[in-house]
Amino acid sequence: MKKLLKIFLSVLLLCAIALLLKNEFARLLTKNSPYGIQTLISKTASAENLFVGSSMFRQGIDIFALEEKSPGTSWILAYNGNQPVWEKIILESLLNNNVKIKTLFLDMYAYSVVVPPKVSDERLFLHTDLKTKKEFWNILKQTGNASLQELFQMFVTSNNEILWTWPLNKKLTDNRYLRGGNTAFSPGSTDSLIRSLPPVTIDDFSFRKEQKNALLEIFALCKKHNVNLVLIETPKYIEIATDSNYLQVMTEYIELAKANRVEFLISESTANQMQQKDSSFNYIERMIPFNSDDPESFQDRIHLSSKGRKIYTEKILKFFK
Amino acid sequence: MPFSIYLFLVFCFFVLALFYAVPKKARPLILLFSSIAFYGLCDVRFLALLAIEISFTFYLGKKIEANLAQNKAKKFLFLGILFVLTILGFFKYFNFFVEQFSFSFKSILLPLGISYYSFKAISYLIDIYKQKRSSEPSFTFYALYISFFPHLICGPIVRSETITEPLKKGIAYNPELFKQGFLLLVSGLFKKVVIADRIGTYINTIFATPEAYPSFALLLALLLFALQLYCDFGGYSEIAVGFTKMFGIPCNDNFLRPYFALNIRDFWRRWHISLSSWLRDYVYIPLGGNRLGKKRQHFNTLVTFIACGIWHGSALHFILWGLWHGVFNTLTPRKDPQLFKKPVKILAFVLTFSIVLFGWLLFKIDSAPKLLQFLSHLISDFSINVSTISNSLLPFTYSNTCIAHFLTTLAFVFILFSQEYLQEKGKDKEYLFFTIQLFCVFLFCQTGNSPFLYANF
Repeated sequence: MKKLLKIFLSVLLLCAIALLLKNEFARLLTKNSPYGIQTLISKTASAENLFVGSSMFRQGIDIFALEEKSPGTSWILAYNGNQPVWEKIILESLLNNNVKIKTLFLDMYAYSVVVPPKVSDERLFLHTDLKTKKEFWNILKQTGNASLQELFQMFVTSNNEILWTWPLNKKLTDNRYLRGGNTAFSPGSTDSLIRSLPPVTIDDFSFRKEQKNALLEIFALCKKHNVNLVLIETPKYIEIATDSNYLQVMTEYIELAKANRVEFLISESTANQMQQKDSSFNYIERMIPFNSDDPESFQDRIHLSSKGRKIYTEKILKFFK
Repeated sequence: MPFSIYLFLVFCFFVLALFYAVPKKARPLILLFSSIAFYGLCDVRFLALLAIEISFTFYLGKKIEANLAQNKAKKFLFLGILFVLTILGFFKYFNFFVEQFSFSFKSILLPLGISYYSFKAISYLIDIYKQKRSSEPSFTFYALYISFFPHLICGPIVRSETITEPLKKGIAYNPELFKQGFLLLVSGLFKKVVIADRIGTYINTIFATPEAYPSFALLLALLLFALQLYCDFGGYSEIAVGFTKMFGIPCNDNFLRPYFALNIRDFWRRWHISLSSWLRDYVYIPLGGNRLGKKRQHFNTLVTFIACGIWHGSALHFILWGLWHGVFNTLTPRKDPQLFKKPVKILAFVLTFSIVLFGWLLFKIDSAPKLLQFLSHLISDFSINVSTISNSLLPFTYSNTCIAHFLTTLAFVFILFSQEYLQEKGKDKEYLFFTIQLFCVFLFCQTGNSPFLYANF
């Protein structure tokens, strides 16, 4: 039993040391990756077009098309289910590290603003230092979403899989990305397949105060640092694009942008609904037409396929021309 | 309160500390009160049902013993079995009949652990009737046998003497037993929170819409389901047996490296041993076992396995699963598979695992059209190339971390089966694997509220 106890305590001590090192220094490993905050900070220090958002940006923006047809360097910082509270911290972190951003494109992801702050992509902890992690934790505490489970996930178990398989994993994943954009082929789907996927389950579709405040802080940060800000709604499959709850959240999102004089680009169904409600404003001018009922352009309800990605990015680029 | 492994661990360690802090005589009472509190915390609604079942079967046990000389004992035994099975049948199969015959009744909830404690009560009554043991004089000890909290949710279905005999002798701290228990606890946690909980989401995603994924993903999900069932239930069993030993009560393993079985009969000597030995002793042998000729033996085997299927649930696919195993059990030659030469052993292993794997498909998929759809997609569209592999691995996390998660799972599977392979060869590197598993539990455990799959049975 004594031997067992000795092993137990030794393992505990070694784990504690490994976790301390991981939480502060693991981010340095990601400096040479073709995605993530650290690479942007260390490699470029400037981005003509920076897309900060959720997986919809990773799946929905064609980095090759951007590189080819728009001037300067483009970057995509996409984390699954990314919420404004985290996007604000990411932006702060970039600006504090003197990254020069000309235009910031922020993902208008309706489902990310109706949920309380939570960490939906643990890679945020791999790409940040201990101080930023603490900031995440404080936000969770302030909003009453901090639990022992969250604490354990954030500081103990997050990214361990990536870290211990690092050399192999890096080789296998790095060639799928270019400046944060997905370069791998994503097949399209069919209507029946998309509809058979588990639905998005959200109980309350009201805009969360914490997320709204974070958006206001992002607007202020951009003004302060002379960064052009454009909010972008990526295409959703017809089932979601025409959903009344979704459109209600988008209405509020747009009202917030208008009230703060922030540029926005929206989808066809959202623009049509807004125009019906308020004819005094030209929403159609800010609309990026996209066929939301073509299942081949989608992987699932919210992510674009390779085909959809190419079409959509070209339409955005045309809009800027 | 939903059953969580972490709360269970906290509860067990708290009781363990209390258990060794009080004098020997008070220890059974601590265990009994803890068991009552545990059941109450998990599901207070059915605490009264548990108390009624304990009290009535305790009373019937006395009656059976008192009437052994006269012929009334059989009536009391019959009454006891009928009582227990009626309650079990009502709660377990009511919903099935409501659904099948479209009755307009509301569905009812299944009391936690009812399949396990019901079988314990039946074995106690039959053992008294068969004079394998005398009725338990102490109500506390009997109540503790039925409600012993580490065994309450998912078994193992131990015989009454396992619990009552050490209690009678008085439980002292046994360092060797405690060490064995702690080793089992860590091994069980490794199986449950590191492996089983890690792959659950992937399996559910693929089985929910198999047509949306490449056939390679279906094969992967099926293999992982076999692993999940073993690691979830086997892991819990090791935790339960581990704590039993840490409480100073010797207890046999419930799983013995089942996927190393060389035929189906061998598999059932290794899988859910407490249930298979219960069915052997209280169904197969009373039906005549192998004493009444070959045909009758096969019939008895099939009936026993159908009973095994019914125990798992009211749906028809569980009966089919039982029948599947029953048929292959009757077809298995009597020769000890350990005597086979190595190439034959490898062939026997592959064949047995394939039969078990198809059995798990029957176990998992609850309708014939879905099963056929799954099989046709798996077989007719099967291909392995970079695209199918990457699309099959993506559902692990739906991000670029999927490869890391898959590789990590593979590493854990390697650790698990390396340990089992060495154990099969009689080389038990317990400290080495304890250290590795402990590291994995600390750094790779899956948090959250993953229920035990076998708690539903």
